[in-house]
Amino acid sequence: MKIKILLLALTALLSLPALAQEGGIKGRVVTRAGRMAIDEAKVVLSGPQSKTVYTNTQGEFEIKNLMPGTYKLLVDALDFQPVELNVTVGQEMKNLNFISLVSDLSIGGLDDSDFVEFDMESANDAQAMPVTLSASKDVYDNIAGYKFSTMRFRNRGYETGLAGVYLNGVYFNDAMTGYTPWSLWSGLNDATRNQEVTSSMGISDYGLGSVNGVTNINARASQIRKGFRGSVVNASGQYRFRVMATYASGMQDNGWAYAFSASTRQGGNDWVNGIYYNSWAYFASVEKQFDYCSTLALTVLGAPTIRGVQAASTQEVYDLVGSNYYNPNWGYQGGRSKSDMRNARVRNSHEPIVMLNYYFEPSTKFKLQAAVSYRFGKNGYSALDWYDTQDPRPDYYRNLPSYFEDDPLKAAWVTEGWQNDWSIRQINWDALYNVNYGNYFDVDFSGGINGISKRFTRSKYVIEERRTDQQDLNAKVQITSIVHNHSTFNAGLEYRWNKTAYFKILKDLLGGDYWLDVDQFAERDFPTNSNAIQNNLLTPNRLVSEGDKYGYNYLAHLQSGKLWATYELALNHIEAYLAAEGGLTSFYREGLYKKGLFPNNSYGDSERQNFWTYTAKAGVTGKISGSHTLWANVAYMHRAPYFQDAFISPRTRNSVAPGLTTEKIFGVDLNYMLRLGGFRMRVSGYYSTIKDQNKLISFYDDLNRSYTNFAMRGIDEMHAGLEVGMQAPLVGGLSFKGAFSYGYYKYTSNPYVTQTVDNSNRIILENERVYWKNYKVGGTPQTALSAGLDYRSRKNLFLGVDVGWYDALYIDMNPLYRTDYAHVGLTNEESQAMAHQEMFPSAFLLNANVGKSWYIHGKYNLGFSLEVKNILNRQNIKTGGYEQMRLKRVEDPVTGEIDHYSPFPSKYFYLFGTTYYLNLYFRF
Amino acid sequence: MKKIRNIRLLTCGLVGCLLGGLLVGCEREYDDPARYKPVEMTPTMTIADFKSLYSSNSLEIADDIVIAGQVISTDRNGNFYRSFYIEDGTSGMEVKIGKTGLYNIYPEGMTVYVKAKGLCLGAYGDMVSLGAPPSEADKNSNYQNTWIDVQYWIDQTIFRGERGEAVTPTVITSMNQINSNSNLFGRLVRFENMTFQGGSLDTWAVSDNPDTDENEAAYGEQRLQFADGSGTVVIRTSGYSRFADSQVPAKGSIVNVTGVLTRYYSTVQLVLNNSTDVEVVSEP
Repeated sequence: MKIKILLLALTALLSLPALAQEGGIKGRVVTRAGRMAIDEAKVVLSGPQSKTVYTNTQGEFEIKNLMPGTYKLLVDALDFQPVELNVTVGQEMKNLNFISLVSDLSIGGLDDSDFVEFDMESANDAQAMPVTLSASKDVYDNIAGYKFSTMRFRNRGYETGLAGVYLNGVYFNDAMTGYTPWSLWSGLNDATRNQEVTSSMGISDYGLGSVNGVTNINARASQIRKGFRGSVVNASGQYRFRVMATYASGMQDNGWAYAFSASTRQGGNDWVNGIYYNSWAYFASVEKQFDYCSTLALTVLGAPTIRGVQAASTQEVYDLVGSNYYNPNWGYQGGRSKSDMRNARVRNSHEPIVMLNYYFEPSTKFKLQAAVSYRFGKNGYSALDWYDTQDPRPDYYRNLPSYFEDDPLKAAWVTEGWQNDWSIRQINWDALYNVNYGNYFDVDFSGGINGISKRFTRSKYVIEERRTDQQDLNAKVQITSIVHNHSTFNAGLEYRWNKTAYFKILKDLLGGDYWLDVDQFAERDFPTNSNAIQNNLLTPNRLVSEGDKYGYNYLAHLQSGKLWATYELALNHIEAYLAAEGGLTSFYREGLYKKGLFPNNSYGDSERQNFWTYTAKAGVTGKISGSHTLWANVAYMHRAPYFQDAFISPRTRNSVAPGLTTEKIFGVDLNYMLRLGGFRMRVSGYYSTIKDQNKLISFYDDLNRSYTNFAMRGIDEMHAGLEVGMQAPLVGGLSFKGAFSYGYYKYTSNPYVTQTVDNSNRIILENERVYWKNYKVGGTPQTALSAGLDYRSRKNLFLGVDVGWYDALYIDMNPLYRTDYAHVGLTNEESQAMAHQEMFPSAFLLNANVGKSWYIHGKYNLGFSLEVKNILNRQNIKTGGYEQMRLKRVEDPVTGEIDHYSPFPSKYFYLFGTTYYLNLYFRF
Repeated sequence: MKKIRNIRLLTCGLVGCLLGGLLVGCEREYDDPARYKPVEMTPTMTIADFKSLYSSNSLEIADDIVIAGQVISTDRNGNFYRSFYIEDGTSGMEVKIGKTGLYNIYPEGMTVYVKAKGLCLGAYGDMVSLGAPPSEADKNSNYQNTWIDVQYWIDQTIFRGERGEAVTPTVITSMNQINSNSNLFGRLVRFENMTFQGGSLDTWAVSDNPDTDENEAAYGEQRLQFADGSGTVVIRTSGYSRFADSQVPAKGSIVNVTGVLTRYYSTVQLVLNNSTDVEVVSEP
């Protein structure tokens, strides 16, 4: 007996070393979409042992004779996004089964230019970009993020502030507006390709997020795919050309990694005149790994961009011109050729970012990350400005046939003008210059100004550039600790300091010698009060030259601090998490001009606004067998209002918006995922409420001939809906993928509005009720469906076709149309017409794409992809629109008193007809 | 070696791209457009003869008539609105062009030519003006002509000639001058040695109160009496003029006033370009 045991023990002991060498890893690399085998995929093993193998024609690989331990496995194939796995090897062959790679083909190359932006005559100059979740590996987000963006879809109907965007772990949403900051790295697609996405209400590894997901962009040297990538694009829907080149070294043996990328986008598109791109982008990052634990990375990036913008117009104008792509922002200057086309509304920005990241990972169980980033630069948006002269806009309502509906003779003259004369149809730059050439100060202004002795001309028309120049400093420290192998504790401390300068400069005098800095609207109301008309009492009657600031000038000062912690527990079939965050946000306005109309309330600091913020989240995930996953999240947060909504007339005075308070957001969702073979489906239901929002809408009101502001408070919304995403391999290399979103987004309260005019101390409306409860949230289709077929052949040929169907897209409302004030004197019918919210007709789209790549000499990869959108060339699809923010005053001709108001016609944006995007790329 | 060279080349390329970007990253430059050349046309008849074509109703002009005159009014100060007056030495008349900010385009003293074909002569209170034919709605409100208002139409009817010095006003010292020459209406005149009788307001007019939604603006009337006692002239001022709230001279002052001579039926009126056109010769 004893000998038997001894012998057994000996045999066991002897065979141990042999067993110890039998550890291994094997797997099969396939495409995610169609479960097609990927051959020649590179599998790099690192850890206690290093090895590199390639997959065979079945996509299979096997690495034998491995010591037990924890390894890192990097699976990489050209045209696919690399995947990194942590594998623990024991005594036997570990079978990873299917390793799915997601296609890397940047079909279309989603960037901020996809969100064709329309000038909405508002003074809120910041651009709001929708959330893009196309980098997500989730079956719904992946499709919805890209396909739905054609129709300006907003995921779950939320404003962009509810989606978190992080750069190398640092929260980067705009401090003043909350907008997702895609334009900061627009054109750096290659450098920002490595993204980690958390959907909807879950927590991320970098912070709690809100209710619309978190995207973290890993844009530092070691995170960018190694090698060289170059591409040339020719397109017809966004810009004409794009050239991009990227090189990354990957983490080298000497511990250094570096990466560079640069691109340019140039030209206009086939559909709208006056839109053009002149944009560049650069990126450089260097990283050093010190011993095994610490890494330091320095990243610098920027995207200097100049582009001309389109404005929406009314249907009357589109019909008059015979095209839904009319752009009132441009006109011919000096000639009638293409180079004479001048756009008055041009965005010009360059906001570079410098970031330092530090990672300390002494073991697999503990990680410390720290980062400091600084964003600075300039952001400008130009516009026409004019003083006491005719409105230069070609589609000004008095220049349209509808203004003369009582006089058919004049209406006919107007129509003929629009159809025959470019100087009527578009901005007449020559006429504007000529007004300036002939307007002499000594005739025009009797006030007496220093420095005007000879006959200088005073510009009546100029180009102003409204600037929002930010300095944004972020500092963050985060620790991650894995406890007992199945629970993770994450905690972070974040600090943000922001100083934003808001002002406007005189960009172009348009042929005159000077502009005079007085407030023309105040001058109309107080013609003999030389103080009231000053924009800055400290420098009255100042002569303004090109490059000088004028008009308004103030600073936003903001600081915020946050402390957060998340705890995740992963057991056999259940995962759960708890997360909490608390913080303080504080901001104030500092006026740099003493406005004549508000001498005691414009210069100097406003009251400091302080808001305590907090977030609490919890979630649970249940894995039923390998195929079924069920998970739910619940979230509640108090969020600080944004600076841009906090003051009733920030350009002129320090007055804080009434009822300024934190927003309260509540959300809950339930999700189910099915994975069966290659079939994948995700179904989600969500319900969320947003309460107590403050919003400031500023726009040019030509009735008052001034900028007017709507400060709204108490805006409550409900967003609920159902999402389904599906992906199924069919036969051969064919697969199906589709996404469906059915949303119900509406207003659930009647907010209050206070209306002021920038250039008068009068309050036009005070705490007027806006009756829009149960009206729908506009600007995004609430029903969206995409279904498509993809084919991938053995020889790297890609084909795809998809259809989209969109419905329940509502117009953006003018709150004024739903107040008692605006309904005075209206009949029941007229009242209903004014309060009615327009819903746009449903839209059907057909798109297709094709691509192929080749290997040259085994090492170089050359390929192309071509995408054609809106193959059916539908030119009558509204992608959005807004009710004009003004009312027509109809007076009783006898008494001069106001009889009633009537609305102006709404303005619309249309989807371009057929467009293509051809991308030729080269990599090694 | 090759790899390093490639990398060097690449870096140069990227840096070059970047530099190029920063240099070219300036906005487009546009050349200043040419200055308009003053039009030269020959009038086919005088303003006096042209006005005499009108008898009692709207008269739409069917012939290729061209009239010319110098601009004598300005809307800079808000007292003239959407029209300007021209005179050619024989008479003067209002051109109801319909646009605002006219002083920017048709400054005082500029010669303006009007191709009258398609336009319409009409009278309001016996004062003849030139404008667009009235629509049905205009006729219902008893207007014999209306604003032209359409830029495309204006571009084909009203033309800018040479800029020039302001017209020398015709001096009037007695109502008899006006009674014997109705062609003085519409011209720039200067009343001398008038006694300022005043009116119900001590400002030129009533301006709108910007603090209310309502429209309080109202015309103001101030009377002037000829030194020879031949009659009274009313200075009529719009509530929208910048000088509406300015104080008028004291009642009984002796003043010289320059303005555009108009009429409303039998009332002789003067419309001021600016309150500075009222010169107080002596206090009461």
